[in-house]
Formats: sequence, structure tokens, C-alpha cells
Amino acid sequence: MKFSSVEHEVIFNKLKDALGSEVNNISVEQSATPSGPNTYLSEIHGYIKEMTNTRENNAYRYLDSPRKIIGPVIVFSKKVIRKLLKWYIEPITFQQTRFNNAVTPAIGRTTELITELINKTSEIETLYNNSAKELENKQTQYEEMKLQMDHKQMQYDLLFTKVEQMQHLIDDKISGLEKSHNFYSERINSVATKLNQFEEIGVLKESQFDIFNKHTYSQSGEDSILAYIIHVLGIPFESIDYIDLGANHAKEMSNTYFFYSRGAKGVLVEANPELIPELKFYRHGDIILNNCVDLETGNIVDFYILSGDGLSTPDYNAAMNFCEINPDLQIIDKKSVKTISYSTIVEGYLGKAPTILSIDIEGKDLAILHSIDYEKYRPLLIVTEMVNYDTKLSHLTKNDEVKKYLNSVDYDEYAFTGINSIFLDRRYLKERSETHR
Amino acid sequence: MNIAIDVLAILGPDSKNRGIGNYATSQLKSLFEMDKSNRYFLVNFYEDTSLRKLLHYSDNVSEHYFYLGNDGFIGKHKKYKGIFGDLIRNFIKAHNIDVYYMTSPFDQNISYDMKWFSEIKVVATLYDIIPYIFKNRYLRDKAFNEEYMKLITNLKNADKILAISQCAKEDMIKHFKVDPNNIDVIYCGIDDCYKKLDLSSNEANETKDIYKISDQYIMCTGGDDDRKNIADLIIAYSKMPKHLIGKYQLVIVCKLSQASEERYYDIASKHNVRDRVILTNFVPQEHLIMLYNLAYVVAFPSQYEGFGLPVVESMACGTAVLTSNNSSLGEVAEGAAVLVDPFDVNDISRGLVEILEKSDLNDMVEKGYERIKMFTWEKVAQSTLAAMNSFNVADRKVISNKKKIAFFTPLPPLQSGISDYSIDILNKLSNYFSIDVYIDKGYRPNCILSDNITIYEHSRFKSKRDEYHDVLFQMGNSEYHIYMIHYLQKYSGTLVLHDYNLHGLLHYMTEKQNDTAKYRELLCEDYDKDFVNKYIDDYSSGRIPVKIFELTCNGIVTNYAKKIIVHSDYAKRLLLQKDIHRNVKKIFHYADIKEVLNKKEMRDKLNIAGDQFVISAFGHIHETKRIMPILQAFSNLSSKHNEIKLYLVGKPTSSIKGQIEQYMKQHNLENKVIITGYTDLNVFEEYIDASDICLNLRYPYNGETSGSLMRILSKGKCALLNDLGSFSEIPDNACVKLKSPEMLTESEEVEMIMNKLEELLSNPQLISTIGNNARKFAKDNLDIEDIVEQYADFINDSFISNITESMLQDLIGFIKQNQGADVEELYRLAMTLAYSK
Repeated sequence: MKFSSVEHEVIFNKLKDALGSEVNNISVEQSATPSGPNTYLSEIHGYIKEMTNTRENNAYRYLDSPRKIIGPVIVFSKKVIRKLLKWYIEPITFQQTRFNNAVTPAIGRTTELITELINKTSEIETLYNNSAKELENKQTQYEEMKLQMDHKQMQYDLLFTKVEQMQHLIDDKISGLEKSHNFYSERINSVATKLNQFEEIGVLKESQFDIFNKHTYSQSGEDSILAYIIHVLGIPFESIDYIDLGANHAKEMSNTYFFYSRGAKGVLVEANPELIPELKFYRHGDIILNNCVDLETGNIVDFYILSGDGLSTPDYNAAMNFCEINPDLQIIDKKSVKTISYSTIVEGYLGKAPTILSIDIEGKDLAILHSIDYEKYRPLLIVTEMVNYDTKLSHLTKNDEVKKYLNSVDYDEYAFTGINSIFLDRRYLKERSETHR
Repeated sequence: MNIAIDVLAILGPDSKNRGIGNYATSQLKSLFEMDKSNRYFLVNFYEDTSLRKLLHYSDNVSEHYFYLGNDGFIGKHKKYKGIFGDLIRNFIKAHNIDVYYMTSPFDQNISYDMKWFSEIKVVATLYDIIPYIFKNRYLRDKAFNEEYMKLITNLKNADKILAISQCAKEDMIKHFKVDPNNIDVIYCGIDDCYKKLDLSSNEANETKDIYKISDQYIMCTGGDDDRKNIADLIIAYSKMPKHLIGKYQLVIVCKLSQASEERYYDIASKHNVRDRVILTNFVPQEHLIMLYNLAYVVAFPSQYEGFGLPVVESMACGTAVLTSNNSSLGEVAEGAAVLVDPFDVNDISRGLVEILEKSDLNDMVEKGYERIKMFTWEKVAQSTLAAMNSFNVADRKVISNKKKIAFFTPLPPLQSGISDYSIDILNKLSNYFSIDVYIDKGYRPNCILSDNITIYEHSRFKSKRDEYHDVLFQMGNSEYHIYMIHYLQKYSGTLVLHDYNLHGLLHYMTEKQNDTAKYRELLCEDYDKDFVNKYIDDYSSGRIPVKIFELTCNGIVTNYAKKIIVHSDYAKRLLLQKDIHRNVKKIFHYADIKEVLNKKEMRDKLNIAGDQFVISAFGHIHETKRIMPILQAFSNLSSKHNEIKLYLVGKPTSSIKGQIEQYMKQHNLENKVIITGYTDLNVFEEYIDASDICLNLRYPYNGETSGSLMRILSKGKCALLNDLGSFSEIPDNACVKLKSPEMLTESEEVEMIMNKLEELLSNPQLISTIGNNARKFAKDNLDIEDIVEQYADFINDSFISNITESMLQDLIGFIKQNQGADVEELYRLAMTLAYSK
């Protein structure tokens, strides 16, 4: 660290030392040993220094005498004595130096080793302390977890009891419901019998059905147009069958309810499970299928429920598109629904081609029309949507692709209501005119 | 002139990128563009950043950043005001500041005390005193009110106030009785970006579409403050005739809180103009300018403004303005706008109808263009500069009469380096002070001193002590200094500590009488009692030797001195570590920088052969100068190199003299090693001049600085030093550093010295390079004229720092309590504290 001044350095060190471990990011070096051994160690280092400095033992030291006059004599005689004792002193000093030279580094090394050992010991001590602490922590954690487990077990038992209680409740409720269902069924049957009786005695008979004075349920009068054709063709209403793909509501906006009310029967397919009870209630004479119409049968697909009537669709992009066009719309739910194909419906439920095929399955209409085997199961009348969804009148957006295709399989567009078109089987007319001819 | 500018307005968290910040930025930018002669010092306590890019300044501007702790607490807290004041004082002193300019005097992020600026001029910008004028609205909080009034008092005491409008000036005069001559009106400038734009109808529509403006509109800008009068403007707008409301929308362009936005929309709904009022909230500046341009008119009926930028900005964008008839608004818009009474909704409504229906807008726009010519940043800068230049700062510093000081020192013939040192210092210092020198009893000094220096025997001091501004004590580790200790302890003063460790002296003072009690007492000046007792016990019972070098002492003098001069950072660091409050200054040991003399001439004079290679060691010859290792190294070397000679310039101490002679005899060095004995300073220096390499080894070390070494360096000689203490502070390229002998055996040390000498012997180029570097270092740092100026400055300075050990403790407590700190932060904080010390 570079300091701008001595004051900077001193103040920094004082702050740092005083804050010690509280200084973030500073790992404070713990002194490896407690103060006792440390003091001794520094003392030992002092002695080793001294040993190092004095380990060379000189046999010939400087001889001096402070005395002015006889000093030289004294020094001389000392030197003589030293010379005489050379044979004795020299080996001693040499041996001493050798010994010193050996012992000084040895002690130095020993001290190093000891320091290392002390450091290691303290490291181990720290490790031991840490481990002990960790163990303690683990023990506490274990105990806590045990407590938690016991608690959970208790909760589980409690829940289990509750679930059992609820099961009983539900069973009771169901049997109650069954009972009331039976009762209502009975009541409905008796009412139906009564109604039949009324009908038989003609109390409820409408004052003669008039093809030109009738109720319409479709979006734009499609059922009236269909009724007219069927009337002109001389087919009795009660003899016709229909398949309504994307049935939606039982009555409102239904292309088939008029015929149902006149005794016709058929298959209604609706993917939105929310609408099924209503259909079942009002159209109990029909076969109601909660499926999503598709090219194949048996797949599970997502079906997006929109807040607006009749717009729910398995096509996410189409759903988003609706929401864009009409900001009041939004996707409110997503359901998993099984797919069903046209041929399955015909083969599995109706057993023959329908008189009327009504298709209103947002986004998939054309594909379904393509999938129909027109040789085998050829409807007499097809009602299908021709325009894009919009909140305004959108008759100008009519899509001619459907018309072109149906023309190619010998259907004629009989009418366009601004939303839907009604196609009439050309071959049937031809056959009919041929038979009538 | 040296002008310090506090950049609070530009970088302070409360004004950065806002009106005041933008004002100061534009003002200073123009000022620095205009004025290249004054020197500007930007003082920044806020953000470690450079303003060079922002302000485009030249070399006469410098920036100085100080970290004031997390959240700038040193600049705000009362407790630390002393430290902050010291910082300002030291800054003013270090840069010779003449004028201190406060760009945001009402900002509470910084708390100044006007006393700090008593010797210089203070200038401050006055934007407005709106909080005071509307005190019921802005100064309800008592603490805030108190703080605000304190800042007002500071402002009143400024030497010059720069008001941004005549109205601001008049408010200040009216409410606080400030002398009108002390307030200059400098106005405000309009940034170039506010101008008439040539917008295509596409661009115009796009901009209007962004803010959903469909018709022509009346624009208002301002801020989220009731004073801007937006609510009344909406009501006034709703009171206009229906066809005008139908024709013109009201567009309010400024940042608003959600609550304000809801409130204004509520008001609009209540007055049935909800669908005609648009609040854009924040818009970027380029959109603001476009909106000004596209507006049919601008309405700014604010209740009060210090200047009223929107008025001139509109004018610059070529749009007619309605504004208030009071405060600076009427003044700024004079003659070029429709004026209304902002406190009367009906009048605002009347004004709106007038400007929308009756006024000749083109004429108003033309008048606006004329009007804004008054408001340029160039003019602001000119006025600012004129205010600065109006101060006559040149003759501010008067030279006072020579003060008198006392000076305790040994003098020649006492054989101490400090004797020689003092003569030179005294003679130069007499240019600043008249001086009485106090010396020890029992000798007559032989030296030449200047006329205004008188020498007294120390006992005279007592009667004369009141005459002195300060008393200096030249303290070294020898018996020649004993006499002054008593005076320093009794009368205090400025201590010049030549040796950090005086233990040798303490020991000497007590050993002769075997006065253990006294020794104990003296040691207690530096160490705690228990420690000293143990040491004395061990020592007197012979368990350990005397620890003269290990136990450093100087408390007998340093504990009593008011100020301390040392020659090295080494000594300063140690002194401050003991007590941060000590007033310690490092002043290099001087060297007389003379012309380098001819080596050959010197050698002739000293009888040294020209072709010889001379190695010398200087000063008292004793063990601490490593004489025996030097002799051994030389002896080894001389067997290979015939031409080398060793000069020991000085007197050997008795303890080593015989040893040296014996060694020389044994190794036949009598002809190669010359011991000169004590020489006077002239001869001493001649020997330095005659040398090739100078040895200045030292171990053990007493924290001293060597006068001989300074002489050697100043003469451009290559010196060999031990790398310890103050010697380490000599630059590496200006000497040769040898390891400290502390951990070496004698033979290792001998080998080291020998090898280094041999390396130098073989590389004369290196010797001369090192010598040249040494000379340069001495010239730059050791010149006696500079040194004595530093002495005089320090003696005259009565500054006592607020940084004490207890203040540091307090700070540490504060840091612990608040945010804690990381190393980086401590480092920066310590730097600021060091500056304030």
C-alpha cells in the first residue's frame, strides 16, 4: 500500500488496528501463539543473534593496557605468555569455534522447528476448535430437525384425520345428492308424462307450425335458411340429423336448436367443459361430446377459454388475435381436452352422414372441412364461418377459400349471411331432380 | 490570484444535475474559458471524479479531492468540525489561497465556519432566499430553520455575494441589511441548446403524439412545488371562455410525484377541464426544447423565483411568455411578456385571455429575443471574474517585525556534529528571527555568528524567557545536550531531535553515579512502570545486558515539546505512532550545496596521489560505524588492488583505537590505511572532495541522520550505506545500500562490503552515475536556504491539529457504530485525516 504521507500511513494503521476484525475484507492475522511463548521466542531470537555474531572465537585477541609507562611491558609479557600457551589455547579456541559453528545453526534450526510446531499446534488447535464448533452446530441442527420431523408427523396425523372426516362428509353429500337426483328424475319423468298427455290431447299444440312464422336461434338466421331449404326439399324435420361442431350454447346462437325443437337429433361437440352441463340440460336428446374437434382422435390438446362467447379455441395464436381485436376479451383459462375427428363422430356416434353439418371451431374450420371423406359421409348441408372475427360488421372479409374448396367437392353456396355460409350438396339436388324427372 | 472553488453545486447530491448544479457548471465553464491567468483550485469533498471533461479547463485549474467518510460525515458532523476546519486551513495554506468561492452556500452537506477564512476573501453565489421569504412553508422544522439561519449568517459575512438577479440582491439587503456594495448581480445565462428549431410538421406531430397533445397548447413548466402555482394556473385556465379552452390545451411539463399528478388532475376534473389538461411528467431535455418551440404560448405564473429560467428559455425558443409581475420574474421578463399577479387566479385568467386573443405575439417574440441578449454565460463569467478581481489581495501578506527566539545548542569547539549543524542553521535563521543562543557552562564557543545572534550561558534564560516567540532545542544523544533537558521540560518549545534514541544518553547520565532510581524514572517516560521495573531488576542483577539499542527512549524530551523537528520519516513515523497528536515536521538535514571542487587540486593539497583510488569513512571512528569489518574487507581487497587507499577521517574512540592499530600492523596496512584524527569541518570536506567512494555504514542504529552523509551526497559522491532507518529514505539510485548487519556474521558482512567495493572498483561509470544522482537529490532537497525557510515556517506556525488519539478513538467508535469500513475506505479516510493534521 502506498501512502501519501507518514501521517497517512500512521493514521491508517491506527484505524485498521483499532477496527481489527471489524474492518471488512481484512483477515486479521491471529498471533500463532499466546503471548508467553511468543515473548520467549523473541528472547531466543535475541540470543541466537548474539550467538551468530560471536560464534567465531579468535585465539588472538587485541591486547592492551591503559597504563602509560609500563603498559607496553605488560602487553609484551601477555603476548609472550600467549605465544607460550599457543599449543594449549589454539586447539581450545578452534574447538570452541567449531562447536559454536555447529551449535548456533543447530539451535537456530531447532528454534525454527519449534516455531513451526507452535504454529502447527495452534493451527491444529484452531482446526480442532472449529471442528468442535461445527460438530456442536451439527448436533443442534440435528436436534432441530428432529423436532421439526416430530412436528411434521403430528401435522400429518392431524391432516390425515381431517381428510378422513372430509371423506365421510363427501360420501354423505354424494349419497344426499344421489337421493335428490333420483327424486328430481322422478319428478321430471312425471312432468314429462304429464306433458306427453297434454300433447296427446293437443293442449300444447302450436296453432299449426308455419315455416314462415318461426323462431330463430342462430347468429344471423342461418337456421331459418336451413329450415327453408329442408322444407322445400320436403324432408320432415324430425327425420334429419345434425352434427354441430363447436356447439357453444344450447339455444343462443345455435344452428341446430331449431331442428332439435322440431324433433331432430344429432351430435353436439364442444371443447369448453364449462358449457357441457348447459348443453346436457337443454339438449338431453342429443349426444353431447366434450371434445376438441381435430384431424385425429385421442390426442390431448390445450384449449384456451376466452371471456367472450364462442371464441374459445385450441389455437393460441388465434386466441391472442381475438384479444387484440377486442380489448375486452382475455384468455381466462386453459384446459386439457381430448381431440376427436369428424369421421370418429360419424362412425362412433351418428353412424351415418348428417343432414346438417354446422362448423364453428375458431381457426380450424377449413382443415376440418378438408378432412371429411365426402364420398363416404357426405352432409346435405354445411354451415360454416366465412369471415374473420371482429367486433364490427365484417362481411367484407369473407374468405373464399372455403367456398372454392366446397365447390370442388360439389357443394354450392346457397347463402351467405354476412358471417356464415350455407352450402348445399349439388349431387343431392342433381340426384333428386333426376329421380323427380 | 489563487482561487479555491468548492464544487458542491456541481457534485453535491442535492444539486447535481439540477438547477444550481447546471448553473455552476455553465458559469465555471465560461469562467475557465475566459480566464487563464488566475489559478483555480477545485475543492471536491463529494465524488472521486474528474471535472476536466465537464468544465473544459486549462492548466491554471487543478482538482483536489478529499474523502470525508461515508456520507461525508466529516464535513457535516459538529464533532468533526475541528478536523474539517484544519483540512480547509491546511488547504488554504498549502496552495496560498486568496479567495474561497462557495458555489452553493445553502447546501447542508457541508458546514463551514467563517472563522476559517478570516485571512482570505470569501465569495458565494446567492440564488435566492425563498425558504426565508416563505418561511411558513419551508422553515417550519426548527432544526432546519436553525441550520438555514446559520448559513444565512455565513453568507452575510462573505466578502462578496454574487446574486443571480437584482431581486435576489434586494431581498438580501431588505431582510438582512447587507451592504449593497458587497453584492454583485451576475445574472444567469441561457444554454445554447434553447433556440428556435426548424421542425417539420412530421417531427412536430410525432412529438405532440408522444404526449398525446392534439391541439395548440399553452405550456407551463416548473417543478413539484406549490410555489410554482400549477394548481392556480389550471383553475385560471378553466375560467377562460369556452372557445379558448376548446382551442388551446394546457400542457404542464415537469416531473411530478404521483400524489401531485393525481391532485392536479383532480383539480382539472373539478373545474371541468380534465380532458383539456395534460401532465407530461418528466420529459428529456430535447423534448422540452421541442415542446417550448411547439407551444402557442408559455405560462409561468410562479409565486416567486430567484431567476426564472423558464421565462428566458421560452424567449430563446421564440415563444411568447406570460409570467408573474413580482420577484425576479417581472425583472427578467420586463417589457417582453404579459405579466399577471400570481396570487390572483382571475388575473392569471385575464392574462391568459390577453395573450391568447389580443396580444401581438410576433412583437412579443421579437422583444423576447432582444431581452435574452442580456443573459449569456459569457456575461455571467465576466461579472464573476470582475468580482474576484475586485479584491486587492496582493498586499495582504505583511511582513511582520522580526520575532525573537531562543536556541539551545552546543557550539564548537565541542566536538559534536550538531555544533557544526547549528552554526549554519543559526546564521541562515537569523534572516527570519533575532536569536539568543543558550549554551552549556564551562566553554567559550569559537565560531562566527551573525550580528543579531547573541550567545548566553544557559542560566540567563530564566530571566529572559518572556522575550521569546519560541524556544528551540537541538537535541542529540551525547552529554553536550544534558544541560538543555531541564529547560525543555520546564518551558517547552520546539525540539529538534537529531537522534531518535536517546537511551545512550540516559544511561550515561545515570551510570556514573550508579543512580538506578533515576535511570528507572527516565525510562518511565517511554515505558510502563512494570516493564521498566522488570528490566531494571534483570539488568542490575546481571541477567541481561543494558539494552541501549533495543529499548529506544526519547520521552524525556519528546513528551514535553510543543513541536518536534526530525530529519527523517523514520523518526517521524515512530513519534506519531506513539502519539498522533504530536506536531512533528520532517525537515531534511541540510547540506551546503557548493560548487563541486576539483578532486585533483584537493588531492594535491592533501598529499594524495592523483592515480590512487580513495575510499573514505568519516566522523567519529567507533564500532557502530563498522570500522573493523571495513578494515577486513579493505585488507582482502588491497591484496588484489594495489592502487586503493582507505582514509578514516576522524578520531578513533579509545575503545577501538588499539584494535585498529593492531589489525593494521598484522595485515601490513600501515601504508594503505590513513587515520587523520579529528579535523575541522573544512578539512573534513576536503577529504570528501578528494574521495572516490565514501563509506557511511551504521549499526547498531540510534535513529539518527548523518550530517556527514548529507555532505557526501551534496558533493556528488558515491556513498555506501546500510539499508536501515533514515538511511533507507535516500533514493536507491543516489547511493549504494548494503544489508543491515543485524542478521549477518562478521565474515558475511566483510564479504558483502568487499564484493560491493570490488564491483564499484571495476565500474567507474557506475560510481559517477550514483554520484550525479546524489548531487541532484541534495540540490532538490537539502539546500540550506529551503531547509531554513521550512524551519521559520514551522516556528511561526501556531497550528494545533484536532487529530488526537482520543479523536481517532471517537472516529473509530463512529465507524463501528455506523457502517463499518473496508480497507479502501479506511485508506481514503486516513488520507483526508492526514491532510487535516
